[in-house]
Amino acid sequence: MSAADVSGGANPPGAADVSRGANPTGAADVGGGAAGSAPERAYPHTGLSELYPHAAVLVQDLSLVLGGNVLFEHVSFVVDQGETAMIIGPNGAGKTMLVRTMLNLLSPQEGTVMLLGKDSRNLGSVRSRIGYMPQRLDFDRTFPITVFEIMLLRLEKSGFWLNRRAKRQTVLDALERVHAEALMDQRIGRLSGGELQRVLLAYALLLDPDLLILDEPSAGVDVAGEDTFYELIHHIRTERELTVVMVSHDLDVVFKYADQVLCLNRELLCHGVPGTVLQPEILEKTYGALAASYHHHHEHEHDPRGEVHRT
Amino acid sequence: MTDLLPFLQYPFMQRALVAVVTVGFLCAVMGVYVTLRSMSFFSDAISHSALAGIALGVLLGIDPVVAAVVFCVAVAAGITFLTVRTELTSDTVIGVFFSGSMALGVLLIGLQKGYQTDLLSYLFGDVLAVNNLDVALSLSLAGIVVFSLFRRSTLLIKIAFNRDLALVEGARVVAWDYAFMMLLALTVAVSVKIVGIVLVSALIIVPAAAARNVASDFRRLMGIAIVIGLTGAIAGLVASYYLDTASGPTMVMVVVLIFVATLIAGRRS
Repeated sequence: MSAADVSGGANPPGAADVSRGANPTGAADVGGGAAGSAPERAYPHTGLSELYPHAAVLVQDLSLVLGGNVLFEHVSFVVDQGETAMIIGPNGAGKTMLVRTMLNLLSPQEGTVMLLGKDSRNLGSVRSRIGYMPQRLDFDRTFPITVFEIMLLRLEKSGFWLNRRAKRQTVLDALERVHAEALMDQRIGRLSGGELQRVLLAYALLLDPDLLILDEPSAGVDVAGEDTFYELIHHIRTERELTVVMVSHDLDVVFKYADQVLCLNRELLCHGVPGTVLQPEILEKTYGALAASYHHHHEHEHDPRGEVHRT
Repeated sequence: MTDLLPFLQYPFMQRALVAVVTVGFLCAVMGVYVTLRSMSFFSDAISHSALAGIALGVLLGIDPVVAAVVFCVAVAAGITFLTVRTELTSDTVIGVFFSGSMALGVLLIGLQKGYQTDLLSYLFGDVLAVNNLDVALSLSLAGIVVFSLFRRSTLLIKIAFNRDLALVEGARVVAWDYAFMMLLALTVAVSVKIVGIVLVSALIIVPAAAARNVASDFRRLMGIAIVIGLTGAIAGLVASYYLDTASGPTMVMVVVLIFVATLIAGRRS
């Protein structure tokens, strides 16, 4: 799928066919006919890649329970190669937990996750093709380590201490992509929130991944900086095919950049093209009544995908 | 050489110099990772648990240093296991092991017959008492630890920097937690005879902490920590020879003075 299709929104119904039309409930029909009977949600896990040959991300019937609390349940969706999917939902909806479960940082009660055709519990060599940017990076800000040295950690095969001069150019190129080349020799703990996010994005992009998973990339960034951050990701997507899954809290951003949106509030409440599925009743279900009226969007006639205007 | 450094004419001083250089280098490198992982308290607990290991060794008639290595590794594994497998916080687990192994050590010392001059020398170290076997053991164990630390430094730094990133990139984080604690236990056991149980963690923590005051990046941090560790070890040994003081505490005092100096220098810049 070309980027023009995605952003221009010329053919949302067509583009939506694979991932939105044939949703994983349908997949269950094909695979084992277990759909509809809630207790038998364990879909057959084999052959999913054949069913969705273009899927970069395949999440099926994923449920996470921690300490007796259901954080989310029965979440299923597919993200095609080259698509941008955004996960929205209120605080505590389970967005970060979903991302962390997808990456196998948390073990789900049930369900499977396939990333780039591999089970997320056993990714093997596919790992180097996945870039991940956490919501918050917990680290000791006083520790003397520079941006360049952090980037070296991603180039781990070639070692940390040797041949540094040769690697500077690779790192510089990666930082230039996110307009962070000036930060190369800065200590990581001294960066501002926005600068740190750029560096983390460069880190996630360093090995030219095919899949980028970003957990709320704008958290802790001022509004002006945030716009450019999304534009940055969008721009990289126009240069090469890159599948992006990101958590977002901003509906404006979702309408502008997402091919598909996933509304999460303990369960998946909507799944599809933002302009089509983000109806007031869905938003109300996701966020509650107040937010839905606040975010009620006025569609531009020339833009089938719609734009959200806050009034 | 002996004209310049007259004390080097004595074989026990030659052995002592090799021993302190080995331990100074080893502890400094280890300290960089220990401070990066905020494990100062852990290294303190491991070094104190060496007391029980040494007492056990003397009681059973095996080499105290070998017994200390085994005991420190066991305590390190126990702490790591309980931290990973239970809800207890690591400082609680460390606190239990710390006091438990100290009590055991003192009890075991009490079981010895007669005057325990040999045992007590382990508390504050006695570098002049090291024999050729000790030096050989220190050198080989230090070689293993330093090689491992440098060989896998990318991984160790990444895990210390952010565990989630390391996990997503496929690092076997828990396995490396165990491996790191084993390396730390080896470091402590190797150093105990030279600087003593009470002071070994100072020699691990202080050079890295001092380097942290002035270093701008990780490479300099490592380099400066090693220089400080070696300076403290050599200057401490020489000073203890001329001042007729205990060598372990003198070495620690030198690195602490360097720490104060770097603190002031770091504040100014």
